[in-house]
Amino acid sequence: MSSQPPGFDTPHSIAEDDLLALVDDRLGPERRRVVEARVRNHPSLATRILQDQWIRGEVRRFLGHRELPADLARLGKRLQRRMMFARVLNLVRPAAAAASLIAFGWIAHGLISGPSAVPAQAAIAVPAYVEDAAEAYRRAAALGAPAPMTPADASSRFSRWLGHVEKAVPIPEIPGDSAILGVIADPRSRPRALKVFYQVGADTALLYVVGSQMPRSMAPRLAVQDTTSIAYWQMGEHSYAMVGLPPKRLLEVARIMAFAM
Amino acid sequence: MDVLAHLPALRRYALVLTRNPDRADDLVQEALVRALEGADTWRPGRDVRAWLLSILHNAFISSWRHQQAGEAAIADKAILEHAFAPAQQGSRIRFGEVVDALLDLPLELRQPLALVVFDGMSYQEAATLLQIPVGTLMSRISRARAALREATGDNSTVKLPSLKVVK
Repeated sequence: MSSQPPGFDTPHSIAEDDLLALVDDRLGPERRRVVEARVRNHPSLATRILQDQWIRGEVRRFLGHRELPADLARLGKRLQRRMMFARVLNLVRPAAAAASLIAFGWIAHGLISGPSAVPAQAAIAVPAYVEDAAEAYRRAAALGAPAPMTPADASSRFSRWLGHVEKAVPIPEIPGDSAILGVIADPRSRPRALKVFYQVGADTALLYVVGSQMPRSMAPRLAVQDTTSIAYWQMGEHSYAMVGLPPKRLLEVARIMAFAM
Repeated sequence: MDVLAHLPALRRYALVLTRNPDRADDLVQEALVRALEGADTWRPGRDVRAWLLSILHNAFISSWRHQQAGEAAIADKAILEHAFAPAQQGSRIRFGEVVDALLDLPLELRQPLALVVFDGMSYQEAATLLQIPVGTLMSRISRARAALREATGDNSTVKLPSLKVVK
C-alpha cells in the first residue's frame, strides 16, 4: 500500500496491492479515499476494478447455489455438538486432575456399593462417541455385523487403529454367561473405532472404543439415545461405550470393565 | 459456533480445489470427520471457519491432491455447469466463461483467490493457511485476477454498473 508523490498520477502510480485491497474492500477509510480518487482519474483502472468485482460476484453467486446434502448436514451437526462438548470440557479442565482422582475412587465405591448406586443421566451433552456407539449398534442390528476378527488379532492391531496409542490394548471380557463374538476394527470407519461384540446371555452387546486426545478418567455413566441405553466411561487415552444390555446390567458391566482396565 | 453456517464456504473452497462437485463434497466430508476426531483440540474463541478451512486444506494436501491429480487434471466443466447453473438462463454463457477461467487457473492461483476473494479471509489468514508470505499471496491474487479478466474478454461485453463504486 504505497503512497505516491502528488503530481505523479498515472495508472502505474497506483500500487497493485492498493488496487487488490480496493476490490477486496480491505482498505481503511482514509486510504480508500486516496486510492479511489486516483482510480477516478483513470477509467481503465476503474473498469478493471469493476470487472474484478463483477467476477467475484458471479462466482460467489454460482458457487453458493448448491443444496446442502443431508449427510454433510448431519456431520456438521455432529461436529457442532462435539465442539460444544469440547467447550464444556475446556471450562472444567482446571479441575481435571482432581476429577481423575475422584473418578478412580468413585469406581471403587461403585463396585463396593453395587448396582443400587445408579448415577443420573449426564447433565451435559454426551460425547459424540456415545452417539456413534448407539448408531453402530443400531446399524449392526439392522444389517448384521461384518465378519469380525478374532480378539487376538484385534488386540495386536488396536494401537494402529487408534493412531496414537503405543501399546496394544487388551479386549476386556464380561464375567458370567458371556463370550466375545468378535472384534471389528474397520480402517474405513470414521472416527477410528474398535467394536467388540459380546454374547451376554440372550443379548448381543457392543463395546465401542475410540482414542481420546485428552487423557483422563471418568467413571461409567448412563445415557439414553432415543430408546437405546448406553454406558460410557473413559480410562486414560481410551473412551468406551457399551450398548445392547438393560440399563442396570449395562452399568454393572461397565463398572466391572472400568475397574479391570 | 454454528458449524452449518460455515459449510457453504467449505464446499466452495473444496470445489475450487477439486474442480468436481462430488469430489468436493467428499473432501468436505473428510474434513468434517477430521474435525470430529480433533474436536477436543478446538478452543473457544478460535475462529471456527478458519479452523475448518485449514482442516479441509490440509486434508486436500495430505490425501487428495496426489490421489486425485490424475483424474481431476481437467475439470469436468459440463458437470460443474449443470450442478451450479442457476435458474437465470441468460447468465449461463457468462457463467461458463467465468467458471471455465477460474478452474483453468493453476492450483496455486485458485487457492488464494478462493480463500480471500470468495470466502472473505484476510490476506494474513490466507497466507498463514497456505504457508506463504503475504506478498506472495497478493502477487498470486493479482495474477489470478489478470487471468480471469483476460479470459472473460472484452470489457464492453460485461454489463458493468456505473463507475459510482469508485467515487
